[in-house]
Amino acid sequence: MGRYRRDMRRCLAALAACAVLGMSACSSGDPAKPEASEPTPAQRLAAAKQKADGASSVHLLITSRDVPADAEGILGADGVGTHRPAFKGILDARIKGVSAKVDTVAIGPDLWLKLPFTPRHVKTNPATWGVPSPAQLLSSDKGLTALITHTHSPTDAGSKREGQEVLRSITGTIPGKEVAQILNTGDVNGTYQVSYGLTDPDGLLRKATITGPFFPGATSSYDVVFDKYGESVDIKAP
Amino acid sequence: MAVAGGSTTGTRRIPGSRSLLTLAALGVALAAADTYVVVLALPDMMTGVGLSIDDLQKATPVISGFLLGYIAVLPLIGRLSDLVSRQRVLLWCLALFVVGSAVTALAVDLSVLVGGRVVQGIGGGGLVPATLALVADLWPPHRRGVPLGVVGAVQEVGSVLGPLLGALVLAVADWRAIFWLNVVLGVVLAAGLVALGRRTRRAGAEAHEPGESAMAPSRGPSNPILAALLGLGLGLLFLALLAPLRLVEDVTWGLPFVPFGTGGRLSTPIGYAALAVLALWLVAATWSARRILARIDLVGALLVALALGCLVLTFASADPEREVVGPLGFVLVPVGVVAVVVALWWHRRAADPLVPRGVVRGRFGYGLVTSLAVGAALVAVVVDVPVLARLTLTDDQTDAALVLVRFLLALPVGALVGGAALRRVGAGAVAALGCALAAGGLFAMSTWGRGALEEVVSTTLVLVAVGFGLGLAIAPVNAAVLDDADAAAHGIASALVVVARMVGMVVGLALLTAIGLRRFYERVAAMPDTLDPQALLDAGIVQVQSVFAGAAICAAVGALAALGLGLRTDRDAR
Repeated sequence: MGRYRRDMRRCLAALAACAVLGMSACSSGDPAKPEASEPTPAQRLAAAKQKADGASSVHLLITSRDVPADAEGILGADGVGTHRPAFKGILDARIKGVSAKVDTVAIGPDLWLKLPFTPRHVKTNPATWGVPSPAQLLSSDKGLTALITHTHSPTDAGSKREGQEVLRSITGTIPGKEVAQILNTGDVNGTYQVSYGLTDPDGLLRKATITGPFFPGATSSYDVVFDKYGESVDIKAP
Repeated sequence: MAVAGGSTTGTRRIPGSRSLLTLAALGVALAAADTYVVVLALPDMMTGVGLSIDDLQKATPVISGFLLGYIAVLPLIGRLSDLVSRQRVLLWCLALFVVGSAVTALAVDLSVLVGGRVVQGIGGGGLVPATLALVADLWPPHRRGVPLGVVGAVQEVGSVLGPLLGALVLAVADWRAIFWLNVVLGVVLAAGLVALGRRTRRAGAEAHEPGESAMAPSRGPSNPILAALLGLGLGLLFLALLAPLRLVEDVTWGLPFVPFGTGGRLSTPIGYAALAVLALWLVAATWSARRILARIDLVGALLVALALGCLVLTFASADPEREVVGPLGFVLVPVGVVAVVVALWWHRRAADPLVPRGVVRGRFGYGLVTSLAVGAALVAVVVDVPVLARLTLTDDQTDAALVLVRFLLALPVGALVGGAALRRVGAGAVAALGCALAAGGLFAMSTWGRGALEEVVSTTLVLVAVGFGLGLAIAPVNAAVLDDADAAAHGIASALVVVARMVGMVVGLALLTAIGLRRFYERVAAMPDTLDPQALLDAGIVQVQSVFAGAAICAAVGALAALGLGLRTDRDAR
């Protein structure tokens, strides 16, 4: 607990990095060329991104797999984001092998955190932690859906089951250089495999999985489930 | 099915019994080590099943669930091992231990983790009475005291070595490896038992009437349907827990893995199927063994298990931020009380009660209370010293374990000295002195603050004093209880002392943690800035201090109860 503030800052830095995944423009999708026949995987992805960006709210469930025991940072999240921008939910932080669920409310530039063992949310300025607000998670150019903008050579990979649903799977890659630049960690020379799951026939973005050298000496994955599109949510300051 | 009736009172030497006893004692040590093997791994395990560090309350069943299983079956299997061959009981217990370990190792949900630990506890706990019964086979009644004490000591040493074993594994691998190691060791021990059984069966066929020997595994007609059910159930269970991604993501093969609602991996069609097949197997196995089971007080054992389960869940389900006993507790507490009352009533009227009538007499009550108090004090130190070390001294689990070593090493030394002192001083005097010493040390520990553990000399002295003191109290209780019990009831009497210590641990862990966390939250609620790490740290220390203070009170109560064991040696008394 002694180093909480510093650790917290590191966690938030990692989170912010998640939030701003993808700044540079390496768009491989070309949505401006509609065809009469089947849309290309790139077109499907672009359409899915548009739907996610257009939804009034999206529920996000982020989990991680094959993370080394000594990994630190935000390893998961469960919450709802809007384009206000705002986010309300729980961040799953791991510091020194200890997991902590941090209750989080972010509205625009404001951030409230309820650290483990503490009784109430405390307002804090994201700038003092040196990171942008998790409210940016659903940002169309700096948030999770911007992953799509960065995906190289999207390829149709058949159908995959995700719980009750069967999703159309589209795989591709994201250069490690950009991921590393954005996350402040990870192997610069590595390549990250990305796999999207789109609902059929609606073509909603339901799942995204990024796999790669997020942590030294391991190939880890982040799974992001996007659901409850457009549910009315009211994110209020605690 | 061959039944080795009345062999507890027999004194004949059975070939291979000593080797069997050695293997069984190793099993007892392994299972005992598992009690606290998780103490240092607990934060990692909580991460593994998606619990936040402030869900400590919900995680206590990871320890107490094991204890619960251990306690619930101790008397039951003690009786069973008098009716079925020892080897068979030992093998089944090891098998349960191995399955429980594997389930624990695979768990990604808290309920599965705790379930695995309970099964592990049942298997591990069952090894103790079966081993004690082996002692009864080997030694005549008047010479059983020492070997029974040795088995008790092996159990004790095993349990204190647990945290060290855990730390050792954690130094090179993750927490799941601890349980896979258990699987491997359990299988090796079981293979040894089977090999030994083959050899002694041949020898036994020449020397003894076959089927009468406690060594010969009863060769009942092995039922292929039962075996198939068990195999299928376990296979499905491990598939459900493993949930291989290749299957789960497959459009067709993934269907059995689709969860019902937000449940875990067992809350799926395949998980339910596995549980259903296993339940079917249990019913069928119970039916096929009904003649033997009819001679065992299953009702009594279930009542005891129910009462203890209610107790564990009452504290585990509370939200310490607001209360010590949660809303669920207001249902569980009455159920538990009713279970205790019915269990007492049942004890009076059952034809063959779980604890034979007449065992609990003389100084037995004082012995049990002392044992209970020692267990509560012991668990507080083993669980909370590493917590204090991690709060104030180090981030490393192995370093935290090393702080505990000072206490752990003093414990068996105290036990040996206590045993030796019994020749000159009365049991009550030795045990009371030990408990008083521990109480004094724990009161000192309840004042330990931020820099305390950095003062190596003074804290080592206190930790050694507490370990030595609690160790002192172990042998006298056993000796006094065995002294007052009939020779035929030595096994069950020793088992009950272990049970009392374990119950003390369960109650102590649940109650002291709940009270400690409650005080922590009260402290935090009064803080002006809840993001101030130093103030949070101080509040964390208050939690640990409260637990130590509670443990000190337990040890003091133990000292008072120990006085009832008699201040003079039995020789003097006569």
